[in-house]
Amino acid sequence: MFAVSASLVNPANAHGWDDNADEDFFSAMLGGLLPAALWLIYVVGAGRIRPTNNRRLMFHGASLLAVMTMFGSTGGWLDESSTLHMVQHMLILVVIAPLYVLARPLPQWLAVSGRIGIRLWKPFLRLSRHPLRTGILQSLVIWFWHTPVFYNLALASPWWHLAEHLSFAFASGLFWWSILLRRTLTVLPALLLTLMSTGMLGALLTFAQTPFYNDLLNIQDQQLAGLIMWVPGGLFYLLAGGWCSLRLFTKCIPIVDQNSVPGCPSKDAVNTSL
Amino acid sequence: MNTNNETRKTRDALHDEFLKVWGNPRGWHALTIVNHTTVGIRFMVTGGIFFLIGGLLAMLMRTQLALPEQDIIEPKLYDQLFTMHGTVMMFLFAVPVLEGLAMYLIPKMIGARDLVFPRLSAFGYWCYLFGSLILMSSLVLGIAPAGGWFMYTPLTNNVYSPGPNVDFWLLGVTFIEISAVSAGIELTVSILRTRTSGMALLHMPLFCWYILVMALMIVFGFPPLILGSILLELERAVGMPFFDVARGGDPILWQHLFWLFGHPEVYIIFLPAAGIVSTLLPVFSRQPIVGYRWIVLAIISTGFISFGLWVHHMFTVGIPQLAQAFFSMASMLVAIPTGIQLFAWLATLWTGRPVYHVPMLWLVGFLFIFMIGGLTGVMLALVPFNWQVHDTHFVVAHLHYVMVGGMLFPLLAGLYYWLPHFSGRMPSDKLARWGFWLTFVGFNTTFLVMHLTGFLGMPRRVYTYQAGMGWELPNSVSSVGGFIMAMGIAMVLLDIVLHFRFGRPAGSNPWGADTLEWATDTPPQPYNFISLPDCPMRHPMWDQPDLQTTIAEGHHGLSEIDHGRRETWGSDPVSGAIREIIHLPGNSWLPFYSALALSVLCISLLTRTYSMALIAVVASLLLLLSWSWKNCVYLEADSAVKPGYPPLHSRTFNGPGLWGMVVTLLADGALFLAILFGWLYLRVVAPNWQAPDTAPLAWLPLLISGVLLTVATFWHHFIVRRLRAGRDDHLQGQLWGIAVIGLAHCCVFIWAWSASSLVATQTAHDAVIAVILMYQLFHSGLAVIMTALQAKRVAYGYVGKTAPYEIAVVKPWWIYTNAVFWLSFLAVIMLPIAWRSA
Repeated sequence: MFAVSASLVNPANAHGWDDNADEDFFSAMLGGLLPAALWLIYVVGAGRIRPTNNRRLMFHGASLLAVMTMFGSTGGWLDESSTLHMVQHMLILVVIAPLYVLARPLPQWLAVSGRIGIRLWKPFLRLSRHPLRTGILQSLVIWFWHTPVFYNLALASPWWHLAEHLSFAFASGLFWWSILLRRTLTVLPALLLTLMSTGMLGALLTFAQTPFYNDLLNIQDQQLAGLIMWVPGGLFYLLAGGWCSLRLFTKCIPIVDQNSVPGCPSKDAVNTSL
Repeated sequence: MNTNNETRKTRDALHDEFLKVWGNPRGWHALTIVNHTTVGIRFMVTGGIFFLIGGLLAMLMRTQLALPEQDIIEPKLYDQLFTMHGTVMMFLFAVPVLEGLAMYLIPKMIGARDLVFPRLSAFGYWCYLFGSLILMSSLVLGIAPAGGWFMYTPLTNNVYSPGPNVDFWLLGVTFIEISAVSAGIELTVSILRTRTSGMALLHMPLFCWYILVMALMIVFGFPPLILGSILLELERAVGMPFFDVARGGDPILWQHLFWLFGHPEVYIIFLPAAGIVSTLLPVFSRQPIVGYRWIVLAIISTGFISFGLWVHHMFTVGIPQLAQAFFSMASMLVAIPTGIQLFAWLATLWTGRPVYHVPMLWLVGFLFIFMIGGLTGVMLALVPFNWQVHDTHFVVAHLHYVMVGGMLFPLLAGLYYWLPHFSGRMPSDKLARWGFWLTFVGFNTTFLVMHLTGFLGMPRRVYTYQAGMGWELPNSVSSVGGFIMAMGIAMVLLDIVLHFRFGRPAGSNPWGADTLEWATDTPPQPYNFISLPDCPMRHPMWDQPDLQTTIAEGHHGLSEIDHGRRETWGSDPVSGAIREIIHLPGNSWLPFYSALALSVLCISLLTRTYSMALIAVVASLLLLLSWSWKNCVYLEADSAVKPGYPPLHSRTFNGPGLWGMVVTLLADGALFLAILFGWLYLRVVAPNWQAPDTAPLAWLPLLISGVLLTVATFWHHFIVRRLRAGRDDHLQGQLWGIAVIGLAHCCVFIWAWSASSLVATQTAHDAVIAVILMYQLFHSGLAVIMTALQAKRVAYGYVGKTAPYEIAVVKPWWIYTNAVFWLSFLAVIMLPIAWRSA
């Protein structure tokens, strides 16, 4: 399979949009229309089940960003820099996906889709109980698409490119779902794993001596792309770690009033005892 | 009066009964003791002795540098001195002492009778002791390592460091690190699973949070260095190239592996010390700590951040400038959690009614010194400044401010605070104050001036300097200061020695502290508590002042001892609700003998007598396996528990052993990730990377071998599920079946390896693949052996429906072995096809 897909990459065809502008345009339209459709369903669903204002705001924000990010691939200007490309990936992985999850749009979507939707979601609901598994899945997807052969494949064919972005959105959506909506201790190792695996990939891109991808401006472009994944990308996982810990605490503590501790001895009592 | 006598009598009777089960033997048999109090004290005393030795080495260096152009110490010896000073202070003093303190305190703070794997703690101690002795013997023999405490290649490879010097470091330190990792695993599981009834995570004393995060950082942070040491030793001893540019390696890989460990190490040392501060300040401020939850958050985020910042130790090795800019900025992140803690401490002092006893002196000293260390740290994080002062004495001054301020001062505060707990006596106030002021003044005289020496351009690690460069005055001031500091330390030492004889009896809870460790006797009994109290609160000793009495009179849980078992509560990791009774193993020779066999292995590798090494490997394997066999003989003992009590842990599926296994595999996984990182790093960075045109390994036999492994794993998973459902028919036969399939997997694997065209000494490409294959084979082989032993144990009736515990422990190992196989398959067989550069 690897060999076959590898053979699909035709270096001469690297800037696919030059040759098949139509194909490129349609795939980008489709990429943009998908989140737009989800948006529409949400708006209809929100009429039936009212979300809180915060969630509504988050959903609209995420959708706007998603549509813009996906339409952003039209015109092909993204294909000229790995850095811009990486920014697009990180937007999907650490901004749009968690925002979608935090907005908790499931009730609204399911209000429209009915029973079929519930049946479709069920296996994913089940998988989302295991933060470590979704973390591993997401890491595998990220690594898969950043190996040069598949990255260049996505550059060459707009349809592969769409598949790349959809699988990112899907895997990271699932990951953030299992992280942000679950209050278990395993979210911390899952975040650490993600931090380590994206950090490792970023480090490799940063330190590599040779260019990997067909959309490079120069070697600094690749270094910057790697650093964006490594440092700002990692920061989001770090923040998520802090946020999840805080939430965990509020769950597991029956708090006593801290300021009035009855048995706390007075200063004098201790002085005399010494 | 009569009732008083009665209660005293029952109290003494209980004490005698408990001592029969928990008592420590004397004489030669003291080597068998596994009790955490004894082992913790052994760690601390041994570490303290190494601190004095390390200090002595520093004195020698300061004597040499006091005046220009002295030749008291020749350059070669000087190299050994600074290398050993750093190594001793980092690996033989700082980490073991803090671990020892944690081992001593943690069970007492969480209301447990011992650590969860007592024999492992004893084993860890012996590994530490023997490893340190091997390392120190090199100094006596005059062949000590001389390549700096971070052992950068290529200086430390075979060409530039012939002779056994570097091998002493690599083998000795690895040995000590194994001890550190085992302590990390044990502390993690103990804190999560053995807290007394009702102590939820957020009821734990803050010290436990600090130690929990430190232990997990050891688990994730030490494996990269262990791997680096193994690789460098393989390069030196066998000639497998990893860091040799000509054969496709890269010396910078060593630096990455080293600092991947080295940066977290700074926090591994700082966190427990900060934990001491957070424990002591509220006690002496007479007020609960301000912002408990924010501090916990700060501790956790420090742990996370510290794994992302290693690159800022490498600003001058030629990494891309963009990366320097990013990491310079990212370094500022550390200020946030440290700031949270600092302000919480200040707020606690501000809102409390502080009393200034001796431990508080050391705490104030800590705040002052550590703040300066932090400020120079911010300076060093700025790239241009970093380039300017790189490898000068400024860096030496900075790291001493961080380490001495961030670790030694809080440690001494803690020492003075818990001294009455160790000995039952109070130290002398006058001597203690002399000790503090001499140390404080001496330290600042030495190292504040040393910043200036660095600005004046004096490089580190030079054995002397010419007169007339302007370095004479600051150097002699530093030397004088060093000797003042030594006097201070001597004063502290004198105080400690004298207090055992002349100190006033401390009584119970002399500082009016809030945490459970003060509910034990002072000095503590081996069993810690006669009965284990409910503790759904943060300040048990403040809320229930009579706790010590009620515990000693057996009013709380688990006060039965007539069954003769060493028991403690096993509880839920989050809520602290009781789940089971953990049955702890008792004293044993096995940890001592196993560590002895391993140190024979270490020595024979040093002297390169490989036949001897082989014998030692077999001996230690046999000892460790027989340990695993005998550790569970308690199953033969009476297993009845008092009605109303939860079952013994051997009757459950989710006991401490499973947790220990999972945490061990986390450390193992960190090591494996480091291997994968090395493989990919060399691929994309090494200037002379040579990959053969045809794949060296045939994929089909490997695939078959992998399928066999997966079948075995699934089968094992299946029998655990059946056991859970209460069915154990044909258990033994099934286990044998799994072992046979696993064995077939190993055979196909070995065959695939032997049929390959790998020449491990020729290229880094082949060498790394060989390491991955060895790693896999080790795990597969052990999985087979463990499963076969389980089958035998089923035959003996040790394992089965009523005692399913051990099979559940082996399961994660199979899953992990399977995961490693397929990840290696992806990385070694598939990835090269997909990772062709543009």
